[in-house]
Amino acid sequence: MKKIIHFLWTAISFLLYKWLIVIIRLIRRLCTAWKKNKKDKKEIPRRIRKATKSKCVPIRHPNYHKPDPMIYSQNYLMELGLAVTWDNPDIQLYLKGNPVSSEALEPDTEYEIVARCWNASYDAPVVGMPVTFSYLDFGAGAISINIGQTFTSLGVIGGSDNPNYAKVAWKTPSVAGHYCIQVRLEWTDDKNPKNNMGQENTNVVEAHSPAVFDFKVRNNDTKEHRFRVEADAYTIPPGLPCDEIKKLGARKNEIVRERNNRKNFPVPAGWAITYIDPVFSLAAGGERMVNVQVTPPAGFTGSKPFNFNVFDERNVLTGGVTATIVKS
Amino acid sequence: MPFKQYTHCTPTADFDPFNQPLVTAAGLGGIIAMIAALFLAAAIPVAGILLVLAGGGFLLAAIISTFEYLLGGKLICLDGDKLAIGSVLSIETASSKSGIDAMDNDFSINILLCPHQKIVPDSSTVFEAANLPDSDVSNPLNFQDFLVQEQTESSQHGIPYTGYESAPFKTKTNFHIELEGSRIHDMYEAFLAAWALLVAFAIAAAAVAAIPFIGWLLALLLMLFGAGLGAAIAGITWATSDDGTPDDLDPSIGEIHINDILVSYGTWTYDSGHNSDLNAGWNELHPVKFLSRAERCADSKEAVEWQDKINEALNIPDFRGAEEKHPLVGSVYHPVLDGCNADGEPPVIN
Repeated sequence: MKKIIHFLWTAISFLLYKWLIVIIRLIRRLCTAWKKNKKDKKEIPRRIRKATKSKCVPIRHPNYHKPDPMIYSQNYLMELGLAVTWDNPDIQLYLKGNPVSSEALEPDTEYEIVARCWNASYDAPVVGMPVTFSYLDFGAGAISINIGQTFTSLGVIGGSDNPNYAKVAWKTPSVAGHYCIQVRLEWTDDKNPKNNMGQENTNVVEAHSPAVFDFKVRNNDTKEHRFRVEADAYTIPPGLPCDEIKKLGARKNEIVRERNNRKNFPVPAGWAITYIDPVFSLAAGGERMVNVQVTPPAGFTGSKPFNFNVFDERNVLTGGVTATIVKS
Repeated sequence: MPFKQYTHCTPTADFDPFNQPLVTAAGLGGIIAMIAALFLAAAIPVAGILLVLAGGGFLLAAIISTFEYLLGGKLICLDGDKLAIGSVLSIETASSKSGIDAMDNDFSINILLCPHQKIVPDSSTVFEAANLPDSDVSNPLNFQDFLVQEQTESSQHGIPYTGYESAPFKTKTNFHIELEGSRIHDMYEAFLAAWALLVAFAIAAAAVAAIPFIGWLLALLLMLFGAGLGAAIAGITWATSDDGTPDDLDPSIGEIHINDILVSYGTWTYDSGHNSDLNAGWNELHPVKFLSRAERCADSKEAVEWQDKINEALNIPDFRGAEEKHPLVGSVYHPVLDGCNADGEPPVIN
């Protein structure tokens, strides 16, 4: 009974006068909000009211663009499942204007290193991009020693200066040695920052049955890792003519992956490659030499390049070298 | 490369200050006339319909005047497209606006023109005049300071020049740039569609108003339906207009931080939109046609290079999906591996 009375009273009171109370309350609230808004507007300058409080704001406006500076990057291509060579097609050394190979550099000699830089963006050019050159002691993963920095600019795809060439002079150390040259394209707001570091690391080894050489591996991570060396006979295949690419259509990427699949470039039959320690562990910051012996098949003459890639237990490429075995 | 642009600027010779009282009177008068026409139509149908058309005409004039002003009438063209490079002082997102201000859903950024730096370095999300250096066009290093100088294109109209966005910034080197959202443009179209519906329903309502006994009720229902439909069109358009964060864009794009160096390229204009309410006016890039981050403040030589390369990017045909014989067109891995080269050979380093 109480509930019925309450129900009836609620209905009647709202019909009689409470609706008016609600409306008055609502109007008061609106007035308060309006006054506060007016006060805020008066006291806080518009530019401050409108400014976002965050120091980092996402932007996806179609007129905002990111470039994609790139170079032949072994780590990136390997991550995509492609075979790589350490004879980098985008890095070339010159001595007195003549191209020279990086495997036999004279000590205390001034070379020019040229890096071919690309921009894989249709929308965003790059101006004043720092290009940093450095070198490692022969081998994989050692600490970079700075050579120098220059700046270059890249147009969009189809535009001017794409590719463009960054050049730096480099006087080799006075002690003879072998060096891995690294080129890094420094662009903070990069659509794909993974393809910005290329390395040139080649060696020529005379085969005195067998050919013997070694290279240094360094663990640059903060944790201990277990490393292994894998060899393959990959070289960059000849470029595809435009007409052929057109015919491939949607199958192009599949064909390119197949043409550059490491499984298709095993060490050829008759060649024997051995390591003193094929698998080894390195503590954080640790380094060691890896000794390699390459025995060519009987009767072999000429030259044959091999890539020696160093992976850790996660299959992350740590470094490598392309060694050309020669026998006259 | 295509870019999004919804506004235009007005040559100084064609500029007229916005007459808000007149436009408001025309709009309200038009609506009142259309309502009054219903009563008139009950007695004299033809006169009612004529009054509907007259009221509709006033309303349309108010709509067109308002939106044409917002979409370009308020912007005085200065000297074509310009480049502006500077560090981010503050960011004004579309979502930071409220009320009627939210109609303008542009994404705005305030930059400090290179080579200037704040007097006291900070990473505050707002900026004060006291922390900004004065402009000095006599110094050749300040090659961008002309952007924040009052121009004759605006001064000849006797309208205020304050810098963004009040008098203390008149001599400062902060510069306002705006990436456009689509809401004003979309709402313009929505209002025109709603207006057309309203007029059509008003004519129909005036026609049925003469029916004895139930005519007024039918007319009222028709007008309410027409108004509701128009409001729905406007509301849906408001809610769905593009404020610069469409989902179909590359998710890897991007973030802007306070103090980032930005390169912007767009139409250099004077914004008279706040001449009346703030007694303020300033130069700005509106719209920004190209925006990107840079590694460093450019000097005048590098700025020319930026401008050339951006111009090239804006005007070059888009090769995406084209059969252009360029090694990077269609390349996924590296042009040496999968690029199309006209000679069938990988491009040679030189």
